[in-house]
Amino acid sequence: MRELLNSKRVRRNNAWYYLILLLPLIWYIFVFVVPMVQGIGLSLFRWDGLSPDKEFVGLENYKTLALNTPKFWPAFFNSIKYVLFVVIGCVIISIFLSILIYQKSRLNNFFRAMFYLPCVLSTTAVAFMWNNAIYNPNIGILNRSLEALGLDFLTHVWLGEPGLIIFSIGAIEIYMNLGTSILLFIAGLQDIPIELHESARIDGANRIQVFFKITMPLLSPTTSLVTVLTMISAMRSFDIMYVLSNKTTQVLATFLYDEMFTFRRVGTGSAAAVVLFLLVLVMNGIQKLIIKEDV
Amino acid sequence: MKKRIISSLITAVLLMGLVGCGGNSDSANSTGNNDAAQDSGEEVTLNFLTWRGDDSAAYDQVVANFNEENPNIKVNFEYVVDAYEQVLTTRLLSNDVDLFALDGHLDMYVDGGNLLELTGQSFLDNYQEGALEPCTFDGKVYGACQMFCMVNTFYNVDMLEEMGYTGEPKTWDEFIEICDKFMEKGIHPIACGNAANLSTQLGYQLLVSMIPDHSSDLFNEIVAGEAKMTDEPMATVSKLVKQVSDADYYCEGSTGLDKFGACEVFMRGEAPFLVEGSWRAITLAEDETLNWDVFSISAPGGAEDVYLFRPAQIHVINANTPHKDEALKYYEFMSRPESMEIFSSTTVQVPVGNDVTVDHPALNKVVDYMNSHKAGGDPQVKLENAEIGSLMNEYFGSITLGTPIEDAVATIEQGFENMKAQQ
Repeated sequence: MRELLNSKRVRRNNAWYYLILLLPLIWYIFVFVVPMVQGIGLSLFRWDGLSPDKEFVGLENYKTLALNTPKFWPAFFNSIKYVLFVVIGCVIISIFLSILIYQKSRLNNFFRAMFYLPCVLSTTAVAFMWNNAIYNPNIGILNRSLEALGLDFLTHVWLGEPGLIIFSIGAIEIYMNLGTSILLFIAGLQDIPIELHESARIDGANRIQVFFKITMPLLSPTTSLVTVLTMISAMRSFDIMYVLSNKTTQVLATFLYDEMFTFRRVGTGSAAAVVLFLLVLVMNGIQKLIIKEDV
Repeated sequence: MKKRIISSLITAVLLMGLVGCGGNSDSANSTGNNDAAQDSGEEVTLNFLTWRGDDSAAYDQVVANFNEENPNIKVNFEYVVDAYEQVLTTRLLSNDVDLFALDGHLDMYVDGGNLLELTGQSFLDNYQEGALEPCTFDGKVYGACQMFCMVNTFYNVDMLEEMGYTGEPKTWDEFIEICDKFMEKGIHPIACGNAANLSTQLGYQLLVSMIPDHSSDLFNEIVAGEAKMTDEPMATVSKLVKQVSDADYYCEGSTGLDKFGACEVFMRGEAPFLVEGSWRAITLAEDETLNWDVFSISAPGGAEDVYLFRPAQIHVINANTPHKDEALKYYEFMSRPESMEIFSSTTVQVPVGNDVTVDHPALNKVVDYMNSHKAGGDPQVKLENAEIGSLMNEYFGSITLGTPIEDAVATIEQGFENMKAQQ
């Protein structure tokens, strides 16, 4: 009898929880899934985005992108370059900084707040600041500092040299993502039992060995999470790119914006968006293979 | 029980979020309610979308005066500086905009049925013909330009006088001679926002001096195969643009400067020339100590009394707005001479109205130049496809970055072919 009552109670509770989960699921479907499916659908049409007429062209837009759009492939490979630079840079710098901040110090909270500040700033404001105060070739802090240190040969037109623009803007993306990444790594470090470090030291391991043999493997779930989040953020990066890059250096996000809204080719723009989505999936899959989470 | 209470609270919060998501559509649909509201004299709000935040002071004044006559019609200006086309498209599709600004390519919006036809409206008589011509298709008027501009070069009068030159360079050879003299002093003489491919403005000035009566048709003819990039006048224009970049006349770091960065270089007195347009006069006017003037660079053998005339900032009404009467009422008010005078004097732009004059020291320089020279057609005003202008910008930009002309020609011709294939 008691088992019967417990079973009914469990079923009643489960039904209640499923009902509660249904609401965010419905929201997710309408806000994310439906537009995504619509976008895939639009990639099969030729449409200018405003007129009521759409022409079904099947996979023609994809063929056009691959074979007849000279700007597509440079944007595609620029996106990969940009993501790799941002992800690797962000992960390495944030691990380093989080370990520094994790040490016991009165200034810990201050540094956490300072590093998190860029995350709450408007992207356009950050882009403006970097463009005018840091990267400006004539009065920017970066070139002036290099000159003051006698490193004139290192000064560049950071947003003007075609080979450099991607990395200059990538540095800003890293700057904006550091705060979140550092907080996640600090949380990951807090989950590592202190006893493991102590016992490793007792066994004769030095700090570097402890870091690479114990800390880093145990941080791999967090590293994986930070990698994914940074990768998605970098792939979707539009604001900074649009504001700062000259029009000859594009990534997929700015390319598809031009296709859809400047040149009114919603079909090819949507096809580029689908390619971007697939690229994120592929890179996420590769990341899962490289970073083993089950330690 | 406790879990159920917590779960219920979370559900309530989520439900509130869903209701909040519906807020936008409510405000768009509230225009339907406003019809009834307007009949009863209650408030109607017109949403006006534009990218020119520089003009906000002017709009505020005009709207304040409008509200003295029409207290129940509010005009809400929204300034979208980035991704304007995207925001405009979204707002048109959701019918959440009543009036908006365009800078050309009205044909796309006319074909899409997005623009209210204004033919026959009495307020159009207040505009000069040049303000209506870019907004007229098949004899129907869909809007009016709010400012006349020119693509020009600004020059620092004092810096040129120190070099022994009075007034602007009259010929190309004189322009090059002045540039060489500044180079000897270690000054790169031309400020230009080459990060935004603004060397295109130099190319356009040269082009219009060579074919002032034909410049607005040339690019469409090139795309149609009736002319070539390697024919005159484009061949000469390309060589001259390359000559300027090869001689290193552009200020240091120009490929990393946008239009504002280049303007700052000019205003700091680090370069005697600024390649831009008369819309920049409002920025230069902020420094009263800066002694500047305007001119248009002429190609060798080209007309020396011509400038590139650019009617700009077209205001239109959404064809599907439920507030047609109110939108027309506001349009009529802003088309009155006194409103045009406020707009032009505050924005420091050349007025477009008949018998509207504005006395502003910065504006007078531009107006005097326009009145004493002949207007040449803008190559970008009647482009059949927005991508043509973008390809031309990239063409001149790549030449400025050092690409050989033949390679740049091959790239742009391929771009035209791809563009036509996708139409």
